[in-house]
Amino acid sequence: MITDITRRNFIKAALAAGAAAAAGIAPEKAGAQETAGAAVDNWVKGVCRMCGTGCSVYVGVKDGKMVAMKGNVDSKTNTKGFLCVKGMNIFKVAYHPDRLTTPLIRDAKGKLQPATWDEALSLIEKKFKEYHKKFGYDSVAYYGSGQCTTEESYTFNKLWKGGFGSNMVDGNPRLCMASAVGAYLGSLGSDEPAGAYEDIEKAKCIFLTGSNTSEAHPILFRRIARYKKDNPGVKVIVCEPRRTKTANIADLWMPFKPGTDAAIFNGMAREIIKNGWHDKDFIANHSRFTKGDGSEEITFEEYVKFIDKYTPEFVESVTGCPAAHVKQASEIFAKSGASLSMWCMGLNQRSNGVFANNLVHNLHAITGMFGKPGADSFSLTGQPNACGGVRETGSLSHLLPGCRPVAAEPWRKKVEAYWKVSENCINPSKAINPKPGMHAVKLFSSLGAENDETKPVKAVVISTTNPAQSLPNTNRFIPGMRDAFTVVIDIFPTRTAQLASVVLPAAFIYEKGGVYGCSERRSFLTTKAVNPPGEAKPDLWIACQIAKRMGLGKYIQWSGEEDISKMNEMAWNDYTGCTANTEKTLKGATYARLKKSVTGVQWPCPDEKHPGTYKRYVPGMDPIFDDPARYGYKIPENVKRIYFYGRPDGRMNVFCRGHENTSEQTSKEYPFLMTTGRVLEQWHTGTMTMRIPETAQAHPNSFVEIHVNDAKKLGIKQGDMVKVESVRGYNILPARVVNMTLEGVVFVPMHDQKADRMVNFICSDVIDAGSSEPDYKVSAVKITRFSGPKNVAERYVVDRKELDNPKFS
Amino acid sequence: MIFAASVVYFNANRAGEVEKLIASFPNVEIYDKDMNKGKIVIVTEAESAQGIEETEKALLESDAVEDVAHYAFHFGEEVEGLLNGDVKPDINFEEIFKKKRGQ
Repeated sequence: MITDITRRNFIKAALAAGAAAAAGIAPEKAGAQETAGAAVDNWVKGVCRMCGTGCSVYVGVKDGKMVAMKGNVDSKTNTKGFLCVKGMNIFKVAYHPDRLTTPLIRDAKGKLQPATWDEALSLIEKKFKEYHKKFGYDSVAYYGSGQCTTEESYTFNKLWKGGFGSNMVDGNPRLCMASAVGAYLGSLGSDEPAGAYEDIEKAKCIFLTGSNTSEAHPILFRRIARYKKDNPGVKVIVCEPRRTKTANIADLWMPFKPGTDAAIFNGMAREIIKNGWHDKDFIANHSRFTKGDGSEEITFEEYVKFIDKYTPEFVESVTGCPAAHVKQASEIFAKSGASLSMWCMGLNQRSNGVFANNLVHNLHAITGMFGKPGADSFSLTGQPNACGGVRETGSLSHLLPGCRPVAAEPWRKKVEAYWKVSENCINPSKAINPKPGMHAVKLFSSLGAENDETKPVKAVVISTTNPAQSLPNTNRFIPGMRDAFTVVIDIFPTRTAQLASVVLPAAFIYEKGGVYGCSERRSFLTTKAVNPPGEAKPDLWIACQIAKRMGLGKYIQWSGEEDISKMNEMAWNDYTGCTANTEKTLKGATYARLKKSVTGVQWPCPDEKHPGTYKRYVPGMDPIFDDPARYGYKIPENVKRIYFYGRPDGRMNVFCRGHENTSEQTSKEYPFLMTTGRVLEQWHTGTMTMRIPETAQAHPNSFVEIHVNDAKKLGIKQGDMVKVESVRGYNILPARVVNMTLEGVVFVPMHDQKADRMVNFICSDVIDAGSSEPDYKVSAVKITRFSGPKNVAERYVVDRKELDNPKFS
Repeated sequence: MIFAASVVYFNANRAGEVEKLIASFPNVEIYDKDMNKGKIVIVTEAESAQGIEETEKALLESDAVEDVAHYAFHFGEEVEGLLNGDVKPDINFEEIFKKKRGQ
């Protein structure tokens, strides 16, 4: 019999042996590796789901329960297998007593009552069929998430677009990544980055803009910080309104008033060209200067004339960023030899998000910072599977698998043929609708009751996301979700579940398995490790049940399976077959390969022998060059340096985009600009992280960061309760008086679920005209002292009891 | 009880000092080391993840310590407690602004 102390020693020795291997130290204690068996029965490969980095992990299972987690030393994302504490706490999410474990149906009195799966699914079937018949196929929508697996997103997308003939499919990446998609398509001709995380260790200049990397992507930040520490000559520039911990490693901080950074990017371009630091060869051979929407070509000289007004002094007057910083940043960026830009929501969640993204791409186009090690224009994603699951499977209202527009007839016809839509579709059109569906904000503003003639959308399935907390100007959308037939699939009670007609209990990632694709085009398979609690089910199983009941069981072939691993594999095979002839191809990433792989696979990967692609658009590295016709591209034979094959002429679009935008402006009544974002300890709407005691305690409530000089003027002291008010609503928040933000700028985190601290009641619902992504980063507010300090460290979460008694105000 | 296996990276010129520092933590045990390259493998034992974080922060207060990188966690006892209903959240509601983030 093993004593408790001995067992502990075994566990500790086993963990230490792994850490030693990760650090490149040979274990000193003989037999340490052999003791691993004492710690767990088996290690199951997977991905952490607590941010968008895509850290590769092993989940330790003992007696059917998750008991340990360790990093994957072979990982290409979290190099050497190192993890952050947030990822470790995942087990507290999985085993939390608030987990939803049975379907719930709201009764006539407004109470959610436990139901069987058959009862819940029968009700969904009845309503969907009724609405399809009465209001048309677009009256029933699906709203997914960058946290669903690729197999799940693909299946729902296939079910709706090909099975129902409706493009009423959107997802929460609309709220975070749509601007990046629009700009990659516009500038490079194809979505997602050209390079990879490994460019970090090859870069000579890292330009972090619109990203508080230290808190939003802690493992990547550690990677950057460590590289910088080991290579002091590498320059880090941080362009952010707040001097966050990210700026602590920077050689240069470029502050700016929220929403004005487009002027900085144009100013840098002007400074680079004026000083002759631009790459004339790259410009001559690989860039195309345009105005307007990119369809009208102009000369380089005309572009130079357009940006001429962006002198460093003019930029300073618009943005508040010192002119000297603009000059310095321009020189560092252009002369480094390898500059890597990385950004996140600070650029995307804007009224001019696509334009801001375009202007960063411009900097790379004029300096030739593409197609070589360490040089890339890289958008970081915020969720573990926004790229793989939603962008690549085309699970947005205007896209099809392969991230190609639904309006593009040739591709639409190919997908129709592949899916056999004409044989299977229950819509009399027997075709995929060529017209895009509604983007998120439009979808939820069009959602309402059966008898409301102003609301054409009558039902929605919401999977693994929480729009009743995450949509901007939330008040606008709550009645619609409450009055419509709203189906929520989630693991916990949420603000959205409070409004639901039906709540379906979901399985957690390690209880179902599936593929996640992270920011660097890398898809990685998580293997099912343990069983879900109670009657919770994988989203894929739920999608299949809906398909069967809607008469589409044959169409979604894997709906005949009961084994979730087999279902995942069949869905994956169907997806990779569908996109095999696109640049997003993962045809070579078979399930058998993914099961064995300890690194995952980066697309394009056309066949099983292909290793995956580190760098796109470069001959000899990108397999699209081997057979461009297969992917619908034409590439000249004499390409040497780079060719942007998604563009008709293979050249990057350089756009003339001004700094003007439609963001809310300050006024006498609303004199402050409010920006929102993440904190290290929390994630999204806090449904998971606010249930983890350690992270909840570190960040138990929202707050407003305000500059010390502004606080003095308003008579606000540290901890005072402050009213933060816009034309849309207000929050009452404790003040955090700081000196790391600009005067006139306040910051509020986005995670708090308490009604008077839900910041999206305040946020602007202006959207980007190109991407339809909301402008979470710029709202005009007024600030007034409300009272002295009050303890609001509640770590509030919506619990089971409150599902029947929603209080939003 | 939670166990965390981590690698402490430090200034190799101050190896002795760092080893002494680590040894001063009763809940931390040294398992392996490469003193020439400034790496020590430790296992921290704590009642909660917070305890592990606090130890990490305390180590990082030394300017000889460059980084504490976590590699593996074992939380089997915590899982048993959660499933049995024995583990209760231990939240201190009194100290708002205990952490002065970003200042």
